[in-house]
Amino acid sequence: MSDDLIWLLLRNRNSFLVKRNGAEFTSEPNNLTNLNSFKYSGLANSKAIGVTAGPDDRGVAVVTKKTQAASFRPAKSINKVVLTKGIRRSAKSFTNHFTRSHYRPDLRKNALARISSIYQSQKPVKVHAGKTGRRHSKKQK
Amino acid sequence: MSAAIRPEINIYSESGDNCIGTHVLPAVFKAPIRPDIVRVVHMNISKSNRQPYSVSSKAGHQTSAESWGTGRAVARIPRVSGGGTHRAGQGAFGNMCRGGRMFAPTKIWRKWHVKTNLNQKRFAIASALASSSIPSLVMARGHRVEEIREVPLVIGNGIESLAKTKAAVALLKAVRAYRDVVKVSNSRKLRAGKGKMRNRRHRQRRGPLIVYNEDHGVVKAFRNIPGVELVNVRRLNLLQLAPGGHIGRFVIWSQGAFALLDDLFGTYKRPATLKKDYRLPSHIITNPDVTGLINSNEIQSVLRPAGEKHQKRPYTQKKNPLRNNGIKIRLNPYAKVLQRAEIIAAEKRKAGKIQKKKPQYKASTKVSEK
Repeated sequence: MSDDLIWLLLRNRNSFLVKRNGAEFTSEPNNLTNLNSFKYSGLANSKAIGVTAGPDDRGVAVVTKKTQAASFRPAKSINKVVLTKGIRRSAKSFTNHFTRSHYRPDLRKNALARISSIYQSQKPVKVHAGKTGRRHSKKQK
Repeated sequence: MSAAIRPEINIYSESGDNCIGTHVLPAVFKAPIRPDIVRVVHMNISKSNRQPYSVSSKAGHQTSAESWGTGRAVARIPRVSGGGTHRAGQGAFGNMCRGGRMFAPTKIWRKWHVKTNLNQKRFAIASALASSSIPSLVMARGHRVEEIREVPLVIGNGIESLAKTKAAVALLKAVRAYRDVVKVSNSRKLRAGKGKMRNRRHRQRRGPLIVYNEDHGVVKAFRNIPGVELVNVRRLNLLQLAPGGHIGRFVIWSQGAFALLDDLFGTYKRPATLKKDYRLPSHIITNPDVTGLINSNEIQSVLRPAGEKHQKRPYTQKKNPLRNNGIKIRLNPYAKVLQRAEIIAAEKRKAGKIQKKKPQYKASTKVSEK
């Protein structure tokens, strides 16, 4: 089944679509920007990249889809690589493994941005000595 | 096309994950997927079991009101006759009157049912079946099928002779379809509105649809599992294959049911044997891979080369030369000299070498009083 046809079938009607306050996003897996477009769609594209937080919220897990034939076996249709060696080395190994092997080179920037922001979110929250307002103290754990 | 990629579908045993055979993909799974047809047909056939309703035919007409005619300085609407109560003299019958009948009272002989052409219904079912074999569309409908072994999921004939719900749950867990049942259980919510007191108390998602060929206990085994529906392959129903008109229902097939599909719908080479004069719908285009077509050598070789890149504005953004110094100097190189002179003068003033120019006033010509 062609990617173009699947995109036409699901772009306006799928359970992952989030339309709220005029904004339109999608919560589907393997979508790097969560935008509902063919380029970023993780469901419609037979080649797609997904970046999520790694196990135990350490590092990132990079998911890619296998060949189209494998997509009919959902349990075996994805490759998953966990990168935990820090932001720069993870970004480098991502670029080396996926972009250099020509797996969706157009998604490189978005994937790196997602990797970076996931790492940023895993940093411990800094406690500022000066600010001890209630709102701030709530943030730290 | 999907068929070229995988001609054969594995059949899984009912006890676990091992594969007990293969089956050629029935041709109905290659039928064109037309969500528009599915939606229209679903809308029409879902009207086939509506309960007629209407207001009472007497409502608003149980009074002997007559119009007072002209000359009484009131509207000519029929008015309730008599006296002694407040009702006397009030307007009646009209939809604008208190106590009057509604506008165009609903009748039980409304056209409740809509006829749908048989071929259209069959097209819609073939379409819904084809989309149930594509994992992306099944996931997009909201089914949790990420962990199952294969789409479409075919189980050996042993599934038809399961008799206990416990065994049925074990099977769903073994083929990793139980996540979809859990989704249904978690989604169970109290219905909003009056439906609560009309035997529609809860609403919940739909789970897997189990299609069997012969019922040796499978219906009783599965029917109490939340969200699971069962149907005989000879009586496939669009309301179950595309609930809400949305294609991509998660379907679990028994081997016998799966094997019967080519007889039911025929293939692209021979008509169906179990339906009269039925052939599968043909495709409008044989190759829907638009990206592949555009990038193919046949197309690319006859295209004229791309023209030069045309930019409306060669620079990224227009800058205001009055605010942006770089742009200002590019337009007026002498501006730099002026600015430099100004800076030097400022430094000299600061060092006390020259005084700031004082405004010179003319000596007053006014005669002093002294």
